Amino acid sequence: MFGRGRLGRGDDEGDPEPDLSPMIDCVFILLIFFIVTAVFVEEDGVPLPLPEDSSAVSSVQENNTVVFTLGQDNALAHDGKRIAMDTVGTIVRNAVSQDEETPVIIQAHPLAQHGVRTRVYDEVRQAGGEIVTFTQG
Amino acid sequence: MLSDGPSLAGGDEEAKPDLSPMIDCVFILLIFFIVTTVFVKEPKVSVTDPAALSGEQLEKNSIIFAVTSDNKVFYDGKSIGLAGVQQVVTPLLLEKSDPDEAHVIIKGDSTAHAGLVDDVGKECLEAGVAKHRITTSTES
Repeated sequence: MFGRGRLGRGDDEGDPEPDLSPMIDCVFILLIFFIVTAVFVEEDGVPLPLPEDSSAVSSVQENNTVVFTLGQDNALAHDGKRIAMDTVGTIVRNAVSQDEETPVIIQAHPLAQHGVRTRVYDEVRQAGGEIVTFTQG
Repeated sequence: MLSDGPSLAGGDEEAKPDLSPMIDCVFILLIFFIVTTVFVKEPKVSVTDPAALSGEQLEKNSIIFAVTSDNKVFYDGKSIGLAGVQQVVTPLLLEKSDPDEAHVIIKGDSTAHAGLVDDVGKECLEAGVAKHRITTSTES
């Protein structure tokens, strides 16, 4: 009884179960390496609408285009008048209600602040302006 | 003698529990992390993203440039200047099987010059990248 049991168990355990510990160590090291190096880039953003896009260039010719101008001193103007940031949405909403495809151009001085222009762009997008182009002026 | 048998067997079982389910589990984790790992080179400079509410989540596997508040262009922790943008983008495009799927993210600081951010975008266009995005933050 004892002899048979011991022999049987020895045979079973010897061949089918080799020592797995070194492999597990190795796999764990790989696992930790990949966990540590995994970079989860979570960035929010908006498209950068440069005038080289052919769709934007063709829209420039249309005469219902809404143009916002951003000066070197970050002063926002529309139709020759200085306007406040809050009015951008109203202007765009009015234009879009007449024609959904109204092109919007944000003409910024090269030295204007990127953050201010992005705010104008964000207001336009929220008001439903879909065809937006950045130009320099 | 006979009473030794069961105790020996019991000792054996405690020393070697069945590790296969744990190994399966670890392998699945390992494969998950290998597959999801994207080696993205971050600019490693601090940039204040402009606030915007209409931003959407960006492609994770992108070439990331940063334009800092003192108007320098950074890639992978180095200031490369405007002229370096194409030198970075062109070899990375050659590695891609489908260049149309290449994405560029430009992290422009709120106080950076709008013209410089545009110029970085134009350099990427010339190098053949059609999809560029500027980062924004949702916190105002």
